[in-house]
Amino acid sequence: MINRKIARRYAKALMNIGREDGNYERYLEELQSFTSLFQTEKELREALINPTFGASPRQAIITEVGTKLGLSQIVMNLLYVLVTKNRIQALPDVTSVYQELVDEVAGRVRVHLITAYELKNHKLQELTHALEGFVQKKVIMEVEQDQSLIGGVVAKIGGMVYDGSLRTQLEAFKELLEKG
Amino acid sequence: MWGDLLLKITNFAILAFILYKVLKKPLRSYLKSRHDTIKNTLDEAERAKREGERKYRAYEARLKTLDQEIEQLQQILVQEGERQKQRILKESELTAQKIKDQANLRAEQELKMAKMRLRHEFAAQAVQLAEDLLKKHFQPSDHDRLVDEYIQGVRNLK
Repeated sequence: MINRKIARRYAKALMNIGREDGNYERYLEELQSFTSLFQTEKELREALINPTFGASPRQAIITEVGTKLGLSQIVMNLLYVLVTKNRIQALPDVTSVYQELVDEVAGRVRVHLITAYELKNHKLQELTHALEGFVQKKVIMEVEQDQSLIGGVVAKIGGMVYDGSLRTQLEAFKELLEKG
Repeated sequence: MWGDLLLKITNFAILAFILYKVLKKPLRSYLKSRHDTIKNTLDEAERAKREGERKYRAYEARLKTLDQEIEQLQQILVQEGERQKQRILKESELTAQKIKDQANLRAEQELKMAKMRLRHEFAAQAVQLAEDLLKKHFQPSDHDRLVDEYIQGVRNLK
């Protein structure tokens, strides 16, 4: 929660710059690529988090990795600040909040879709269109497969859940039987 | 010889005179005190006698009503006994009713709990059976149908 609060501050600052220069989408992609590396590469993460290494060596690591990833100077600067202030561990939250801000500005919404079986492309598109019609925003689908649903799909949009899974129907049926 | 006798008589007379003079006052006082004591004792005895007679008369009078008092006392005891009996009976009835009510309540609760457990068990088994059947017979086409229904549901939300 505290991380999220701090993250919002940095994400907003980056968003302001991004809106001014019109590169906010690019910054999101860059942040996501660095964050992905930060989360998967343990050595990189530990080196950046460890304050005993000093700010300069850690900034040098960012420069090297950032150059290879083709990061813009703006995003690199943000990463330098996070490292210098020993808040680099909040990076995933910064990216997540920044993504929300970008989605908001771009007028789109992310839907976390859980499906029991893999969806065919045309079904996924049909569902995406239906959801876009409902939320009146462009929908970006993040699909996850979970066979414990037995059948059907569950869509999570922000804090709302639209559950069409057989698992939930069975649970409702069970509750009905228990109540008599 | 007569002279000796006369001397003895004279001595006795002198002794008697001296004793009379010395003992006259204390003796009189003693006798008066003794007289008073005896008088007081007699007065006390008289009072005691009168008190005894009074008590005797009182007891005699009470003895005459004793049978009546005993009869009244017996009636009071019988009435009190009856009251106690009624009170104990009433209390016993209340206690018995209370125990009966509690037993009924417990039985009702246990029955309710048993029914609930049974319903839960039945529901769990029924749902498990349904889940097993679904998993066994569920086809991707069924999934597609469910997704179509879901899409239709989302469209209807507009």
